[in-house]
Amino acid sequence: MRHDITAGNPSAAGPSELAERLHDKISSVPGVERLHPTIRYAVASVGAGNLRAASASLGRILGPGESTVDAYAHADGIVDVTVDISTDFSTDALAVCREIRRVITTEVISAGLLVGQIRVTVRG
Amino acid sequence: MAVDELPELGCGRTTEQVWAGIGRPPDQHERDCEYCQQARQQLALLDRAIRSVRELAPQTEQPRARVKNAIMDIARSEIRQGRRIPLERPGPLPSAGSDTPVDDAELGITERALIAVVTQAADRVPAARTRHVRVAEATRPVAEPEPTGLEQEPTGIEQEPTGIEQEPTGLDISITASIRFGAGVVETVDQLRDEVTAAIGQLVGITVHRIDVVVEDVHAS
Amino acid sequence: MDETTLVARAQDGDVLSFEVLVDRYQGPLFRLALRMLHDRGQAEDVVQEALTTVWRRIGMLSDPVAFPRWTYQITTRVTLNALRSRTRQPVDAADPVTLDDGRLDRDAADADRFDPAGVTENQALATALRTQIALLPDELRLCWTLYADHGRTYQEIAEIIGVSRDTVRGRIARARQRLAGGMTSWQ
Repeated sequence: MRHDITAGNPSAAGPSELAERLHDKISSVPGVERLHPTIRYAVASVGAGNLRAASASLGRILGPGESTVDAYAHADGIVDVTVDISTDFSTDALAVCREIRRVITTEVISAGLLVGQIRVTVRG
Repeated sequence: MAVDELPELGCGRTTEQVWAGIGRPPDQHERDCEYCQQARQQLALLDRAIRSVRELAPQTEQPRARVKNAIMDIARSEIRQGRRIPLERPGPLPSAGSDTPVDDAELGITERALIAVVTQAADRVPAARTRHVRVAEATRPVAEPEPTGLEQEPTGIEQEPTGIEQEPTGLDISITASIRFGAGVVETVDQLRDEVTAAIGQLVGITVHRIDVVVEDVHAS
Repeated sequence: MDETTLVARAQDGDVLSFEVLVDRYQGPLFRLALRMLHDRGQAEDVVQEALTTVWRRIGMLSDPVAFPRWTYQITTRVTLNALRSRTRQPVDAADPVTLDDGRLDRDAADADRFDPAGVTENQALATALRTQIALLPDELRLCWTLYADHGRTYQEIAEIIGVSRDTVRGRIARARQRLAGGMTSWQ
């Protein structure tokens, strides 16, 4: 399942570090109000030692710096990324999502990994 | 005294009766009745004290911020989002025969988020109080391809109908509102449609297929 | 925005409308719980539980007009549960801090600088009444507070608490009698 992709690429980050970096970058995209935890892959998206986050009341007990980005790494270095955001609609939702997709692609590639499935959802 | 009975004074009047009269001078009975006079005095003092409490009490007394934060955190995490609607069009949706709509579009928006956009736009119409909003993706069967003149001769065997793929035709929006008494209904409904169409166009980018407005109430300004 | 609209939207799941309702109601509900529990932390817990329940069940409210009464009903229930399940806080009539109205004294102390005689008497009256209210048995204090501080009618209080209107009327009359009697020792 999940493991660090480091073979042949010393700068490659583990999935949870990637998720945290994505959280920071995506939060900075203009128009993003906040990221919301995605429930399904909760366990995969948080770092070690944060088991509490895997429970049903996930959203509220993610600690500071915890990622609300689900970055799921397959064995072959392909990463699927899911993120739920709310927007303030200061710019149009499609433009915001396209920028987030661009950010995800950039970060995954800089981590030495391959982009799998991306899923960005604007929620209310 | 039984649970529901009112406290009585020695003269038979209730304290409730005396209380009702402390704003006015004593009546005939009260002028001669020691019980009532004493009660009036005590209740007048109570009345003063109640006013003092009201004047001095910090009605701005509030719970700390952590309370609202906790409430809103839970509320936000328990919102039903409704269906996810693609923001970009990759191609026709799968046939109507599939169990659930497969939504593998990379970029999507939930019905709940769209409702928020519609509500905010509708609130720009002063004569309308928008109460309920529903948003759904409208679809229609994919149009059959144009004949090219190269199709085979009819064989007498009935052709299978073409696939029943659905394609999206935009958003179906329905709004329920109360309209201010005296405002023109047709005008107001038109304004609602205009604001909502403009907002969806600017902020979301999905076509608006249809907007139904139901006026369910009238309110004073 | 009018409450009917806010409630209708919150019923559909509009969290922004619900937030406005929280802003409007958390203060009064907190003050109700505080009068009953005499403890800020517990009163805050009551408000949190009550308004969370409001969010989760608001879809069950058939008429938005009933929202205030329904919200007070939930809050009263949570408050009474808190009262029953904890070890009773002794209310010391001599200690204003127990009343959790420390601010009452501080505000009045500031005002003292402007009108020493008049405001001090006012403040003393208010403190005395607050003490008497705190000494009322729970069921009388609850009715009194809903009536005097929250402006609920006897009928509404009856529905909030789940007793008859006559019972409410009787409790408020008895509360009034006790408070009036208690105030005479202040004179």
